[in-house]
Amino acid sequence: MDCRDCQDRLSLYLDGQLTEAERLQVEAELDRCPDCARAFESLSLLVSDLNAIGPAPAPDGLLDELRAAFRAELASGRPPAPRGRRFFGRFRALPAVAAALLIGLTVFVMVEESRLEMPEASERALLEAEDGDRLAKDKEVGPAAGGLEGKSEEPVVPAEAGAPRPEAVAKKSVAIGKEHDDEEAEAGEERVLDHWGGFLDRAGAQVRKRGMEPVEPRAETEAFLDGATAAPAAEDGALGAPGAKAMGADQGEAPRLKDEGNKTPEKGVDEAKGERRGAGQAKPRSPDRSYLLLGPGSLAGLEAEARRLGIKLKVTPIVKLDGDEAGDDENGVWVELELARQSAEELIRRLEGRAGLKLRLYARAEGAASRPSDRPNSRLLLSFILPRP
Amino acid sequence: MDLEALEEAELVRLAGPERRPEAFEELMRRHHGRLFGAMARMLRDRDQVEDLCQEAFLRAWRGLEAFSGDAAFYTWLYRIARNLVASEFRRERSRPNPRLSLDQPLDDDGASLEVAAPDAADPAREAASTERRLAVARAIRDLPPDFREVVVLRDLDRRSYEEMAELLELPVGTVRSRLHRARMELKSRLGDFFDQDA
Repeated sequence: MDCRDCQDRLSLYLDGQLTEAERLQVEAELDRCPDCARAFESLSLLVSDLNAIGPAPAPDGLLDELRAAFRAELASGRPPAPRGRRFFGRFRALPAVAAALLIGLTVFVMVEESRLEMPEASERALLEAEDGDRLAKDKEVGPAAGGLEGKSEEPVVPAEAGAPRPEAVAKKSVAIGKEHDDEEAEAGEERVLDHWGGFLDRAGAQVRKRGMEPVEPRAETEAFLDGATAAPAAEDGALGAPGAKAMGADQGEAPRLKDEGNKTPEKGVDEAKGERRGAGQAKPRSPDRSYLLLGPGSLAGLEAEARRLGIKLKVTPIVKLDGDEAGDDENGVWVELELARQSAEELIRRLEGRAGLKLRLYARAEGAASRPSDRPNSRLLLSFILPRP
Repeated sequence: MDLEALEEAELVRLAGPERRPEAFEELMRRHHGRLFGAMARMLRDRDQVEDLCQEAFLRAWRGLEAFSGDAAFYTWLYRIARNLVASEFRRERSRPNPRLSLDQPLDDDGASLEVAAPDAADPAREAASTERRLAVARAIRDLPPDFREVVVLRDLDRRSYEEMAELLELPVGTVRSRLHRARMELKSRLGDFFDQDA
């Protein structure tokens, strides 16, 4: 048996599918030839990895959903709509509408990460954030970032007082009103507009009012994040995140926060009621925190996703978003979510998949930038700004 | 009646000719995880997989009266799911601007990957193994659909060659050769990882 014959049989040899005579021939060749032996080792490793990966675990709620669909069919005598297309599936076809939701149903994700090597620091970071005493510490430690997916190693520009980087400002446009020739997309857009009533109209009007250029939402989201991560906090008491700036802080429309720490849900909501545009009493956000614009989303949807993934969310409404042209009902609630990094990653990925957007989380590490995959158990403190469910 | 204690053939009889929904729900309970687990490794969108599972079960219920029972229920269910996937492939390919491509290479940010953590006793080794396995999981879904399916069935779902032949309605010899080529292709695509480790 030559090398080629041997290597052609390695897969079957590994699975015990060879005849006895063939098996002996292959083993003789493996003993004789280092190349064949290496080929076998690498194939074994690959198959071992595949075995370890295994089938994907079914989401917790899947069986319930299947039963519900089945019972619905029994009750109605006709097939239910495909599960995912009832709601989120609509958005898959609608990049422009998703982008409209990007502005209208904005979610900021604030990511704060501590290194795995310092679990106590991670705990401390969370506590400090809750104590509202984060700012001083943030100024002591230089910001660093890494993409949550581990593939982005772009350094974060240290925050400086003053305006965001020009390029960050330039990139803050959000897609809306992009004309689509695709009839299907138009039909889908109508469905979404039906679903969301007048909210999209108002969100779209806000975008257009700000003179934002229509862009592809996926690219835009990333560009927005680039700017958001690098730009400094505002000092005037607005949210202070460049994300907020991009959402119209320059027009006094950014959500404001009186005291970012030590919030209870009740307190946060109460405070929110007292917060109006231009109040100017909020404490600035830490300059090196990172924000992510995410949409569309809703608290209910987020929680449902988390449930399906078996992720326990600690949701703390902090402050209701500041008023705008849109009615109060459309204002969001800023919530903090505490969850493990891997859970956050999965959750964001799921939301990305549903929204059809490409999102990137920037994480701030205490110390030098390093790959997030080096810190698989780091904890994140996430803040989402979500429309009220 | 204790449905959980019943043999599958009996459940199929109750759900099929007798149209007993509770028997069918027991079949759903037994098989939904398996179907989802395999399909979710093949397709890029988990929501789509859930839709697919739902549709496959509903079609199974509608067609169960006519199910001959020649094959196991899961084999029949899997074939229904496969046909749905194939239909979706065709539909997506026929669109001028496919909005959701089932066999489109997965980008990193869209990966739906849950990979069991390897041995935590050696953190450096663990990190390397995790990275490699994530790469493997991504590479599976970048494979051509035929290759992807045999790799998932054999190496992830641990099906025997005979079971695969039945599921795929192919001769065992074809399954053997296809699996070999699929593994070689996968290894080739992951060359850096496996050359180094080997």
